[in-house]
Amino acid sequence: MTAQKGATHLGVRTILLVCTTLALIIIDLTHFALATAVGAIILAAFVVASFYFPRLHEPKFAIYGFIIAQLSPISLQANLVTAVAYQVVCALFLTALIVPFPRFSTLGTYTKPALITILIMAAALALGVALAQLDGVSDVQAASVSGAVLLVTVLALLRTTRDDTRVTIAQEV
Amino acid sequence: MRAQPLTYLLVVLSALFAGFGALLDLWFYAVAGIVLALYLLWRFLAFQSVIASLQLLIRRNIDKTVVRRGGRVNVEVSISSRVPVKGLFSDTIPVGVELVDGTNRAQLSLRADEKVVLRYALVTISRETVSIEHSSFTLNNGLFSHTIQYTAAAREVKQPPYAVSVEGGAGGAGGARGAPGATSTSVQALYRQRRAHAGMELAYIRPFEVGDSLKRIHWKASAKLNKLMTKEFLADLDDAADAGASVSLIIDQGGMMGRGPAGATELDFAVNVADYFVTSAVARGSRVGLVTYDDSGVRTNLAADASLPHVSGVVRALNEMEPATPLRRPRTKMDVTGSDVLHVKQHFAATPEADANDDIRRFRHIISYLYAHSEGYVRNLHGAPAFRAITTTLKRARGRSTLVLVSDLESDFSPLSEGIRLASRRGMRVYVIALFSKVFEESDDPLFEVEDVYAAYEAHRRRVRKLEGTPNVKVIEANAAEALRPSLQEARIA
Repeated sequence: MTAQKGATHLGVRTILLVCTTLALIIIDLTHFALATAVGAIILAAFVVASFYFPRLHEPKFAIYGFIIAQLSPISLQANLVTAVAYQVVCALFLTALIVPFPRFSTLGTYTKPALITILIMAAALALGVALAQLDGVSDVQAASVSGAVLLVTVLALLRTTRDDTRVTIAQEV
Repeated sequence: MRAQPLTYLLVVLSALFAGFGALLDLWFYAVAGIVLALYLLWRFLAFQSVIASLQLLIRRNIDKTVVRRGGRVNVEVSISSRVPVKGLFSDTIPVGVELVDGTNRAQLSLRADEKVVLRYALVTISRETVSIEHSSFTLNNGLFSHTIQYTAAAREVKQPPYAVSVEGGAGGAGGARGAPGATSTSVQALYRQRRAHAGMELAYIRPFEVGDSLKRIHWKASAKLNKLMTKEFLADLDDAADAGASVSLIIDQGGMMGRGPAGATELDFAVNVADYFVTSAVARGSRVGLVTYDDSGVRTNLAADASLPHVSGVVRALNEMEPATPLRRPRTKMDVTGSDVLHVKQHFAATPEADANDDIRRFRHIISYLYAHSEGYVRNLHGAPAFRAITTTLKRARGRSTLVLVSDLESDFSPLSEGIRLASRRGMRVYVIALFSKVFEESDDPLFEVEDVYAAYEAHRRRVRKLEGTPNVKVIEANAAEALRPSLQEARIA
């Protein structure tokens, strides 16, 4: 059963990986330049290699694919819309590489966390927008501050890691 | 819940991207920092939500709870969940047991309300109760992991492994005990075909002594033997059984205990004595534990408990007990204990050199030699099976507890007596059921001399007297039936 489930899940991940890779390449090529083309080729080569070398599926190697995507030359010329689209696709790319996508049957479990995430994001962005009104602080810098606030929130949550749960069950003899 | 190293790496990347964005004024990296941080936040909260919604149902079935050494135990675990979940399930194998078939760990991918069955087999290295009390389920979503520890509660027995029942009112099958509420014919029924109560019905009489209660006179035996005989053994067992809220039985299972006719060996007698205590403990609701040892070490180790499955485990262990093969090993006789030597050495150390002459120096040299050997004795003491059996019991003793030791006092007597002294110093009431049956092994020996029997009995009596000198220790001499047979046959009782 585990092998079958693994095979099914691997198919979804493979599809997601291929789609996100293509999306990243397309975004790169819409800002066509020699550097972006090279970046797109390197990314494509990494993804193709991961199909032939299973070791690249391990997180410590797969993370390099994410880093390669983040080092795309379009970083130097992307506007806000392009940056948001690219990063959203990168998040899906990361999921396909390392972190399994949630099962559709359990998506309901993820609703409340998503709402909480949106609330926290709204608070962080509001702070960023407020900062952007100040003289001497650019919009990009204000957005970076919002990102830093979110990061601090994540670190605070990681510090409050829960101990292993202990459950007492009745044992039938 | 713990974060994986990858998570911390992504946190660092997010910080770097946010920094690059601020420094280089690039939207790309500023947004990268925000999106990555949001992603980590969402996955963290989502994982917590999954853990909170998880409800695993674990049912474990073990086909035996008490086995012989090397015995095989088959375990079947069924796991199901109300929500789909993937994770690593693991049963914690207890100490003294080895996995021989199947696996106790498995990566499971559970569908909602669908059962997964895990089967594995264990082999016991030491003979004791086998119970799987701990298991764990680890979830991992790539960024975070969480382990849920499952512990079995106090046993909820729906169907006891043996049809052990405790009935009140009927007289125990162990003889004319007659105590109210005595039990338990079903417990007796678990015994194999040892010769029924070998020795028990005969070994409780002895010649009348001044001071014995008239109520304890065995009139039939007295008439036959033409002298007053007192029922002592069972009465003393009564006292021992009533002594505490917890009875720890220690039985010598060494090769020497196999002497005697089949079904009426010393070990059979010891088992029947133990049966008496188990029955009494069940009637009183006391805890009863069992430790057995032979020449090579502790064989059975069951802590004192009063629950029904535990008692049935004790009965089964008694039922399956066999005398071990006698080991022949060199024994060092030491009549001087380590503490004696230390006292003498300290005395010499306090003696000024000017007062020492050649005799004293030579004696000091001898004592030093004994001191060196006594250290070896102390080391050997701690490794001696009898001593270890007693210390094992002492470690777990709590409350008013009684130690009942059944042995022929022939193997490892020094460690045994040291252990008994230790137990009495710890406040335990110690009852030693001392067996003597030297007559068996030599009845077919062409060189058999009656004088050898008397000499052996004298040695036995010396050991008994030594034990009787220890406070809180009572020695109950229980001659096995065969030792009394000649005189009882003459009196036409046996």
